[in-house]
Formats: sequence, structure tokens, C-alpha cells
Amino acid sequence: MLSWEYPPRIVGGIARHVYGLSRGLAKLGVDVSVFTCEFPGAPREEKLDGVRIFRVDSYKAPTPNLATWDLMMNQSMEEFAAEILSSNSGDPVLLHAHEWLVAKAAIGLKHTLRLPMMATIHATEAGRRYVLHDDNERMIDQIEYWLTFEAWRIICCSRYMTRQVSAQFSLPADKTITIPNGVDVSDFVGTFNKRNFRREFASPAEKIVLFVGRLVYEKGAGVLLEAIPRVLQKVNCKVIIGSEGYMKEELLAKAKRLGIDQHVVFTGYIDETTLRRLYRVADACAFPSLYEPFGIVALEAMAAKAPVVVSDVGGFSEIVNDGVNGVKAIPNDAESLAASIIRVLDDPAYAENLRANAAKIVQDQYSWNQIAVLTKIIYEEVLEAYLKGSWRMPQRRSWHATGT
Amino acid sequence: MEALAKALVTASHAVDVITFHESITGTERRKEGFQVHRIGNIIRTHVNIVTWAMILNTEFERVATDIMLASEGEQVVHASEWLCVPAAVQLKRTLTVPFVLSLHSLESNRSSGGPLSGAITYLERLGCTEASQVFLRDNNMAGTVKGTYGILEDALIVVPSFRLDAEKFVRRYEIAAASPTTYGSRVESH
Repeated sequence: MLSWEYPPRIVGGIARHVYGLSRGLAKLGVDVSVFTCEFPGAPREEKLDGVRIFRVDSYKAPTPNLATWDLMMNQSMEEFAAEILSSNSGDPVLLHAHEWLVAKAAIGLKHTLRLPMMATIHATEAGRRYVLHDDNERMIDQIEYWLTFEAWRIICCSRYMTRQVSAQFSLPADKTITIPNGVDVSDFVGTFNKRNFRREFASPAEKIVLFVGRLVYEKGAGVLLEAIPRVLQKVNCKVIIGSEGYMKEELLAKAKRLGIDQHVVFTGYIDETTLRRLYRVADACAFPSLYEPFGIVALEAMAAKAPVVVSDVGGFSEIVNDGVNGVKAIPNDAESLAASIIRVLDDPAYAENLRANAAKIVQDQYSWNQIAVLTKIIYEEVLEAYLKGSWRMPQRRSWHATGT
Repeated sequence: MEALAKALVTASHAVDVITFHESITGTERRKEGFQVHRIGNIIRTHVNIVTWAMILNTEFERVATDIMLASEGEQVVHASEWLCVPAAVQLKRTLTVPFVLSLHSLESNRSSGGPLSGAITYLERLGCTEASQVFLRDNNMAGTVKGTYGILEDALIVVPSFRLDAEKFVRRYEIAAASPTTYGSRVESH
């Protein structure tokens, strides 16, 4: 697998996805190697839970922007992976790329080692930006197309994303498949003093509404703030806004302007342990995204048995069954969002029912074991097709090189 | 490169040239006896010359792999400038073929330290480090490459003004082909 992020380097949702999937596949007996970027303090090579991890030096040269950095990083990743894969004993190898950020390395390795390559598209540039504004965004969009063109199969994490990717890049129907994200329920167990922990964020009289997500336009934190004055008319609550993003200052000003700044806490980045505990003490988790390819935060909240309120978009629409394992709100509609949050906060029995159903659905449908089983089936299909053909490295090429 | 290709064919060597063209024209068999493979850049929009070159190199890799796997005998990759270094390094890794590098000028002489200079200099250094032989235009360049990049002197060949001497190139190809393919070995230890 190739991924620009893997724990402890966590930039967005891809790191958790690749982590969960790689461990799940290793448990099924798949020999998984992950090529990723280095992280301070993390070893360059290690084997954890059956997964071999290779971390590449990604800052060998100064670069002026993300796209240039990324392609230079891909050069290092491709070189390094070629050395490792060239010493392969002969077992069939399949490349699995996650996102455009590793497209160059994956496509280069595919052709120079003649290996089958497949990709997971977690989100698209056009989806993130709504409109491609400049050459940087247009280039990323075209690299996404290139990756989908070169890959044997494309995995998307929701039916919504599968439709979007298929339409945008004109992919044949049999090239794409939907396999959802997973979540590890065991991450959300264990004891801690909930009362004391809760007091760090809210008074006993306040209900906790938790928002987790980058503070960027498409995650909808602004819509949540607009909903809170209505919620406060019915229920006393404290809104906890986790993580960071370019909109933070704007959101701080907005909370003040709405007169709710005493009811909103901006925590900045939250470590994993604190985040998992916050999920478990939250009275509601609100995710009012305007664009959401999948929505891993909803799964995490459900695994932690927190009632979720989501906007009816993208992956959220597929994860949440309204009134069964969560509540849906009209996207970009503060009034609808407020009504849904009040419904959860104001009716403990209703909230309890949501918690119980959500936990069961997560266990049954979104465990990493289940996701790994589905992914392994696709791996086997691709490898079978590959091995039937003659497009591969000839035997006369001994994959040997001397390292210094 | 065209004159070199002609001279090499005259000296009975098989030559395939892979180069860029705005529209893909396929393989051209030149009457002089070598083949030219023109490739396009699959990504049409770029933010700078480095992103353009990096993507183009993946296409270089694909076409070169196909050509080399279909060919017999000793093979050497000859990369011209930093623009072709990524593909040459990758082909060395995957096909265990040596490569030689021609540098007509150096980034440190061309640029006054623009935002892309660091990346271009890195690729230039990578090429010098990984190449079995480095062809340079004059002694000043050789001095800079040796002093700045720490490249061993026996890997540097000065071809004044790149005046064509096919025999000289062929001798160096043979030296490169006979050398073990090692990674990053052409560097003096400090």
C-alpha cells in the first residue's frame, strides 16, 4: 500500500483508514507492506500487528508548494519501493494506492515492475472545491483522473463517492466498487472518570454537543454555530469544536457575533485519547457537512455510543438511517440542524435508542475485519486477472540490485 | 542527441530516443537507423516545470521499460539533463541497468536561487550520484560537480562543448555497462 500518511503521521482520514485496513488484511494472512512518509520519532522500518511499514524521507529538497513537494516525495517513495519490491521472493504483488498524493509512485511502479495496481479514491478535488479555481486544483483533478485511468480497480468508500468518481472520470461501471470505511470498536472501550473528564469542558448543567472535523467550509461548522442560538432557547448546552482549520478565526468571530461565545469551546487539535473520551461523554455529535465523501467521524461517534446528528449528504446519508441510528438534518439549514439537535438532547429515551442501534450497526457492518474481507476479495480478483495475462516482468530479468 | 544517435548507429549500436512531443505521434523509424519515441504529458495543467517534468518522467519510465524488455543485449540508459533523471534512476532500480548522464549546464549557473532551484538541484545531484558516468561540457562544470556534489573524478567526463565523439561516448557506455549497478555509490566519502 502507498499512502502519504500513516500513524503516527495523521493529516486527515486516510491514515486511520490505511491503518485499520492494513491491520485487518494482515489478520487475514495478507502480507502487507505500507510505504509512507517519515514522521519525527517513528522508525524508518518496523513491523506492527503483522504490517511492514517503510517510511520514506519526504523532505529531500525544498519545494514551493504542496503539489511540487508531493511529486518530489513520490520520486523518493517510488525509488525506495522499487528497491524493496525488486527483492521480492516471487510471490505475486499488488499495488494499492490511496489518493492522488501517491499516484506518480504507484503508476511508475506499475509500469517499471509490471505489477497490477488499484486505488482507493477517498475524495476528489472537484468535490472538495466545488469549482476548480486555479491551475493547482486543475492539476490535482487531472492526476486523480490519471490514477483512475491507470488502476485496474477503483475503491470508493460510499455509493455517493462511487457515483461521483465514475461520472467525473468517465469510468466504466465494472471498474469501481464501493467498500465502506471501518472503525475499531475496541478503541472506544475502557474506563475513565467520566464526571471529572466532562467537567474539563462543560458544567454538569450543560449538555455537550461535539463537532469533530477540519475547520474548513465544507465541514459546516459555521452552520452549527448558526443553529446554537435556537438550541439554547430549549436546552442549555456547550458546543465543543475539535481540531483546526483555515476558518478558525472566522468561526471565533461568528460565535461572538451570535452571542454564543460563552457556549462554544474551540479546543484546537485533539489527541486520540481525548477525542475518544469526548465522543463517550458527548450528549450529541453534530456533523453538518456540506460535502462528505464518507464521514468516518459519524462511525467513530456511533462506535462510542454517542447519538449523531448529520446533514443528509454524501456518505452520511448512507451511514445514518434517520431516527434509527442517528438523526438527519437538511444540509446547510441551521433551523433543521437545531431541530435535530434539540430532538436528541431533549429526549433521553430517544437518544438512548439511537445509541444502542448505532453500536450494533457499527459492529455488524463497519468492523475492519469485515472491510478487510471485502477488500481481499477484490485483491484476489485483480491478481487472478493479472496472472492469467502475460503482462509481467520476464523471468530473465533478475530483480537484483546491490545496495550501498 | 540527434547527432549522437546518428553517430552511434554508424558505430553499429542500436539506439532508441524517447522524447517529448505535444501530440503523441507514435514511434518514428528514422532513415539514419534509430528510432524516436515521442511521448506526451498526460497531465495537461501544471503549476511549474518541476511538476511537468516529474509527471513526464513516469511516461518515460513506461515507454523505456517496454522498449528495454523487448530488446536483447547490454543496455545503457543515457539521460540528458535533470529533466530525465527520475526515470533513469527508476529504470536503474527496476531493470538493473546503468545510466549515464549528460549535463549541458548546472542549475547553480542558470538560476539565482528561485523557488524551484532546490528541487532542480536535488535532481541534478541525484543524477550525478546515481549515474555511472557523467558527461559535462567543460572543466568548470566538472570542478563544480566534483566540489559541490562530491562525485568521484573517474565518473566525470568532460566533452568540450559536447563536440561529438561517438567513440568516446561508446567507451564510457561500456565502462558503465561493466560496472556493478550500485545505488548512490559515485560519491566521495567525507
